[in-house]
Amino acid sequence: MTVDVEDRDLEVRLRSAFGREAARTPLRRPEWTELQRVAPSDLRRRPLLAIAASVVLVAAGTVAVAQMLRPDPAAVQSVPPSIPQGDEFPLVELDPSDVDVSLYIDRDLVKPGSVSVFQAGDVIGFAYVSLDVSENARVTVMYCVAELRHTPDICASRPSPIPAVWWWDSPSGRAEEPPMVGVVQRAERNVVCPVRGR
Amino acid sequence: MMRSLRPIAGDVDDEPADTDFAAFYRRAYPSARRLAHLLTNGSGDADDIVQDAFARIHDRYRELRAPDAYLRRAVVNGCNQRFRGRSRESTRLRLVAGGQAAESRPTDSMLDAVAGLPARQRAAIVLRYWADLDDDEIADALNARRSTVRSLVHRGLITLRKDIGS
Repeated sequence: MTVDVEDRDLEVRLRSAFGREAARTPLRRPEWTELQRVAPSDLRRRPLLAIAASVVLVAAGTVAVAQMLRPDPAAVQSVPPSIPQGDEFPLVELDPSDVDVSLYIDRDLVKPGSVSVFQAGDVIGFAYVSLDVSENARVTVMYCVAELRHTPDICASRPSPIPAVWWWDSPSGRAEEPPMVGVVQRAERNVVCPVRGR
Repeated sequence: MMRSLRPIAGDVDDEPADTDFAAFYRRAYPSARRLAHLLTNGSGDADDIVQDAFARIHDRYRELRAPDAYLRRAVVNGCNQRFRGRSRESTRLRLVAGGQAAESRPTDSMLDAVAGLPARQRAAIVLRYWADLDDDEIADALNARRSTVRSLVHRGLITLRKDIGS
């Protein structure tokens, strides 16, 4: 009998705790979109270690070549302070017109004025959300950090649509949102970023 | 250097084929998200797990006779798998994000005690006392027998009673 009373008390406390916590659960996905057809676990199954190692190697090589060809420190200095310079990847300023990606931006995920780091197939770079995130906000690709043009095994096996891993910093440099997984839908010259409406 | 680009109108919102699934998503998402949140102790993996579950259902939605049960099982499996081994990507991305947890972790001592349970006991406890499922439904979600469910709940309650008591 004593055990029953204890169990009932425990059950009441459990229900209460679960109820409170469930009410706090953030619900950020009001509608189903094309973006969500890619399962995050599929992206995680990719050979991430190999990709990361390739990124580092190619980025390092790109830095070395770029410094030989154009040793202009002012180019790196022009990067806004919110970008984590050199922490993950050495910065190399490349021409964004060489980047063949098209990004869909979810306005729930990217804030205006924020700087995003993206990996899109064979390119890692920074994009800046330049206007308010309304229906036709623009996103400007600022810097392409590394291009993995010399990793044919990765490029050949990449799926379509191309997965892109996003994370971002606020202008103050502090991460405000969790890293999210987005999808690069098309490969085109220039970056086109329609913002999904609510 | 910088290049502003023109948006393309109408590409993202055109989803004529997904009407039924979209309705299912709208209805089922909140409870799936809350279930994942509780099972992962608010660790920030819940979004991925839920998206994973819906993405798995999406392609076979019309074939499913009980999509809610399927979704529940997919979420529970996703949470259990995530706890068995976090991927390097998740860890790395969390580091890149400055070590910030995606959501504030619960500080409730009861929830902390639940989070300390083995994955299947935790799932059984959450499904019983949050989702109010019966033994059969929990057994379906956990792909287990009814007797196993009763055992999981019983052992979970014993552990919780000890933890909370101490």
